[in-house]
Amino acid sequence: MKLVGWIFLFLIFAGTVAAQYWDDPAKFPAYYFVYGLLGCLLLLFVTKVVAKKSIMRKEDYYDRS
Amino acid sequence: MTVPEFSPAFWFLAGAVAMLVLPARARASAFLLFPLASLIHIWFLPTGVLQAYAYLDHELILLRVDGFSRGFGLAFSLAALVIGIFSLRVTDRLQQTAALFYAGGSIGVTFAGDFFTLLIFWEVMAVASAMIIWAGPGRAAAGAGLRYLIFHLFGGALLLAGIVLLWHGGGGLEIRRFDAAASPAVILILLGVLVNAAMPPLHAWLPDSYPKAGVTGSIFLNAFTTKVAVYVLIQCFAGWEILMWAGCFMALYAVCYAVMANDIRLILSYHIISQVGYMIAVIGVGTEFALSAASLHAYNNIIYKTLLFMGTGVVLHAVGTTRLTDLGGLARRMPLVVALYMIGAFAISGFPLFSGFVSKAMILEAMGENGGWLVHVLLLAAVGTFLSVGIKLPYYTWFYRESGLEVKPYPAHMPLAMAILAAACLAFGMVPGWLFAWAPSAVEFQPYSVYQVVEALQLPLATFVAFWFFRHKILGEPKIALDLDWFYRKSAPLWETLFITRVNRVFSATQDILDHWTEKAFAFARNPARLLREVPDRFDANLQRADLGSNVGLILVVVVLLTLLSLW
Repeated sequence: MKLVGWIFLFLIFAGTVAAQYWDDPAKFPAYYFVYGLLGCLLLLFVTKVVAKKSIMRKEDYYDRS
Repeated sequence: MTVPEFSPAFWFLAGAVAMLVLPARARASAFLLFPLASLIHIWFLPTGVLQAYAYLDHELILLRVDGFSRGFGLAFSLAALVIGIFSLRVTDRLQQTAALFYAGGSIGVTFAGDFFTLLIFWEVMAVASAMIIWAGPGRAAAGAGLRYLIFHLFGGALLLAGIVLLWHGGGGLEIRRFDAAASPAVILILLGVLVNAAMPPLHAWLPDSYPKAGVTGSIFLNAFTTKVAVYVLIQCFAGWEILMWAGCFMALYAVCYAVMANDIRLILSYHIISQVGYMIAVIGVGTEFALSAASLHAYNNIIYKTLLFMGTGVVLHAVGTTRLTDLGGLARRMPLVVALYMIGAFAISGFPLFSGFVSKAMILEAMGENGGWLVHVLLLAAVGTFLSVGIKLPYYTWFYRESGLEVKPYPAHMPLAMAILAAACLAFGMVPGWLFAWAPSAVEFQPYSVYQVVEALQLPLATFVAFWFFRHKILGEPKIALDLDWFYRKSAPLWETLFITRVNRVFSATQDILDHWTEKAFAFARNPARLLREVPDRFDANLQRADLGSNVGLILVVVVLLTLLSLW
């Protein structure tokens, strides 16, 4: 992705942080960003690492007798 | 305006019959008339019990209209209409007939006022939807359709058992809200409904069958069965706390499989389950606001999920494959489809200004007040939603790399149908009041609060960043993830031995014994003389005649006797 895109996304992020701070300074302003990042990494770990070693099979798994 | 008071399901049933007699040229356009008639009909129906018949000592209620049934009925009719537009090129009579029967069954359940009527339309749905799956291509569709039908007949049997027990208990069959202190009858009904809602572990029929139907078949399937189950859960099981937990588990479980799936229609199929999880969780909360949230999310879901399935339908139609590992770089060949799909993807991910944002905000609000930390499970599922449907599917299908696949032209009515739904996604997102007008009870809610908007922007931003970092690792190899259908698919030979081969063997052994003795009896009856002496198998007059001496002796005796008699 081009630099312009990243700058655009960063501006949205900065906007949300500012809005959250303005709304309630007591809350951690990037809470949902951190939660989303950790959550996404957890999902990727579970589906791409744990599942790969346990339940992933070739596509013709059910066709082979 | 006063309208005739019969169940709008009959429009669809009449349409299904019409499909059987109309010629191919007229069928696809005539198809549109019946959902349209139903849409107008439901719009003008007054509220209350409008059509009922006495049957034995029981009352069959074919038409009962309230806020929920009106909203669901309108959403189902709209879906059938728009999918009809998408399917204008379909000429397969079986599929068109089955589709109208299926939609009619769904509408019939929605307006049923008693469990007996509900059960009849429920089974119509099961059989008609199995037909739609069988209309799909190849042997895979045949097998999946059969497994689907068996699973749903099992669910129907649970429902029937519950209904019979309910009747036996003298509670009456009227559809009503059950107390959470449940009787066996009510539990059986709940399980029967949860089969259709695809609640894990009763869900495996859905991802097994929906991706194997035809281009338009899976679009049809996605809109009805699970949402009909959501409707029944709202009417009968609102406020059951266990549904809150079950729904959250369901949302997260299915979204993990959506992230793993390689087939784009499989991603969306798992995603149906995840979305229904949101609805079921909030039905468990059970307040008036929560039930409005569940219904509005269901209407939104019918709209954007149909839009997403149409996007994958165009890909299948134009390219002939739906495997992510084969796709890529198609965006320039179908830019309009990509844009319309992304509207659906943003809507399902709950982006501000899109319809999903409004109903998801309502769900999070209701769960936050009553469900405590469970709301964080739903937020995690929302991350998975954006990851699978919002980024992974479109990125590897339309961008990433040049697949070199040939793109066939697709008819203009396909993006037209998508555009109608995309417009609804945008309209409901930008003007929440239009969505709230569909709610069963008045909704006083401001979805565009700082908290909701910040949450709805930061979660997908973080998801996107994480995805981008791992984008070359996520696609992986073309593999499938085993789900619970493993248990009945891998054990199929055992069941076949137990219930088919063994049973057949008993029958054929019995047959053999009977045949043996019948043959013996028959042979004996044909020639009883065999019992007394050695005779050939068949009677032969020359061989079995007595010898000359005996015959002459016998004649002599007769002559002497006659002579004596005449001298007497």
